[in-house]
Amino acid sequence: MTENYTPTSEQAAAQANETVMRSQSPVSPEQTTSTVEDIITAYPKKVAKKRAKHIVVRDGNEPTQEIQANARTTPGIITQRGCAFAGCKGVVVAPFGDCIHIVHGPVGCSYYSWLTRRNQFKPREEGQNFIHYCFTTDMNEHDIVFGGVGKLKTAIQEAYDTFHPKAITVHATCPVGLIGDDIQGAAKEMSDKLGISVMSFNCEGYKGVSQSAGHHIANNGIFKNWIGADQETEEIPGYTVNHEVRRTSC
Amino acid sequence: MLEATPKELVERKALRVNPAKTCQPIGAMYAALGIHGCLPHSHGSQGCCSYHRSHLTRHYRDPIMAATSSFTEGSSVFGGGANLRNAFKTIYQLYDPDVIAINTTCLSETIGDDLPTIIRESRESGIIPEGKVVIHANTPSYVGTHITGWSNMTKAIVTYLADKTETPPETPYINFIPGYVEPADTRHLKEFLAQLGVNAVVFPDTSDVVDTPQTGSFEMYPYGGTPVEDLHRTGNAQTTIALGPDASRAAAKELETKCNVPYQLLDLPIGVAATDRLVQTLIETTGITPPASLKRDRGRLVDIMTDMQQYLYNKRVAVSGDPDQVVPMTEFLVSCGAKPVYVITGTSSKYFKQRCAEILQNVVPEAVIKDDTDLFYLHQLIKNEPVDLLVSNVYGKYIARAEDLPFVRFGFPILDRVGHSYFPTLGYQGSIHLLCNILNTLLERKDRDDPDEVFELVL
Repeated sequence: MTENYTPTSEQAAAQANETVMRSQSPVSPEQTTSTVEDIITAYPKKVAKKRAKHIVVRDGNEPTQEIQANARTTPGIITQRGCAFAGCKGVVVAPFGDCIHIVHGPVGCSYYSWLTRRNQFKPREEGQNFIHYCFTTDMNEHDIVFGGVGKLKTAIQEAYDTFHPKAITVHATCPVGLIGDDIQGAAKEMSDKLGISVMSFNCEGYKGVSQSAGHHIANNGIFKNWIGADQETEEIPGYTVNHEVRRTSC
Repeated sequence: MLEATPKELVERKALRVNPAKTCQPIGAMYAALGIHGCLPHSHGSQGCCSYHRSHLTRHYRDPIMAATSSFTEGSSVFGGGANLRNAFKTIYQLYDPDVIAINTTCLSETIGDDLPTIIRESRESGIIPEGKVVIHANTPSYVGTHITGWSNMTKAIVTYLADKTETPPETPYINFIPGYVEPADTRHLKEFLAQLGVNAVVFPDTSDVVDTPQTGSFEMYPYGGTPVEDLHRTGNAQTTIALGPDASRAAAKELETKCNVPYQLLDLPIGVAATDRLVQTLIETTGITPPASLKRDRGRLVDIMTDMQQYLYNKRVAVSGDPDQVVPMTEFLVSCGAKPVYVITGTSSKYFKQRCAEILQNVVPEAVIKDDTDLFYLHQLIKNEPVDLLVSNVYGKYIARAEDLPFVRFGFPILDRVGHSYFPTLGYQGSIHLLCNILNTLLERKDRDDPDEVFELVL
């Protein structure tokens, strides 16, 4: 019977993949090591010392081998890494398309994180959809010098009056952290005033080593403030966050 | 699509919705790419640099290279001097550019990093090797827009590099600042100047930097960009012709202040009238006689305008973009018989308000002209009284879809189509291309909407 067996294209692809995975690398360990050495010696000495911990050749006999990935980028390196703001607002929070995300800062941060991470958001029936919008306090020199909390509160009020969202999030950018705008306080005050959830994230761009710090800030903010907070008893169909939480807590 | 946008206009004091502008550093980075052998450097958090590079890369579909000071919490407290000095060492050893053009960010500006001192000390201590050029522009993101950033970096090029020597050059030449335009436009303007026989230093010149050919190998510093030797020469030029007042005024003025080079500011040459003014200025300043080929180019533009005028006549158009682009575009549309009823920009601009008012006051007295505004406002205007055509950068496509409008992509950025960096929209030839794009968009819509009995073979 086996000689009549014709694998489907998926099976054939899986088989080919398996073969590649199990086959020996065409590059010898010596070649890999010398290439990595070439890369590392190209850097200035101090930088090379750091980079040697980031680019590691796997040695099967070394069980404690580790890549030091969670380290700062050396200034001057043409890096692909982003910032905490990009990770928080841009990556994690932006796809929540039925709430309004206000970027508290100069215009650029909101602009570059606008529409680049939609995750194909589709509102529920009768649900709100703000996924194609970009909201910012567009801070100017005056706001940087005299503080931007007042402008932020007004912006939250204007967003509420115009769009009536069920929740608003506020995202800090670099200068906000420096001038010390109390966005947590502003969010709390506006949340109490408007009777909706207004959550703020201190995701200033300079925090952490890359956008990963922002993922952390965003996920913990959502976990702390939203997850399980919903008092709805009615089951909402689909893979909603609260639905999942209820199921696991049962 | 954009269902939450209410028809009712409400005054907003603090909330910007769907901006029609972005921040200074991206403009500065783009201008810096117009110097040959230059690595732009963003002095701030690394996210700024990544955002600017990715946005420019998406617009030009070419890899945009730039380095960053990668600020941390520590640098935010203690200043970014150490970061910049480290960056110099790393950059020279790894990437070895001839020129580093540093732009600041809101973070380094709020801290107050003193760049001239850091650069001077780095030079004195040998961190910056002999013969290497380092320039900087202050580009706080909370002042102005991407246009301001372009303007500040272009001015910095003059401040740092323009030289006036005692002996005048043997062959006279002019400076030509093309404005915040596409590489195709700069390439076309250089050809245009050659066609007229004008000897010019064109800067910043991003052609052959952000539109490089595929050769199979990566060139860190592509063929194009204005060479530093030419930038030194700008101080000895006869005159400066600067296109796009908002983007190019600062550099032209700096050349006058520093090197006594007089300047003339002109609208970007979009359409017949604006291109005529450029040609006229070139005739007056350099004494050239326009060749017959140029007159034929002009004639072809006039020909297509008259051949197709019925399709644009009385069409209500909404235009959004940067002031230097929107002003001549509005003039061009009016000259084609269209009615630009909504003309907006995100940049705060006296030039924009004055020129648009001059152009529109008699022909479209009801036109709404607004600077320092956003696309949300434009959408609300359109909801109140619709238009027949929307001309805007890529972000307009959401309004176009929501309101089912014919849509022409124009300006910066365009992230979803190709061609904008290859086909010019300036000069007589570029205007033909632009006009064809507008007309074909309208004709496409006509074909889509016409019932069978009037669906015509010949339009």
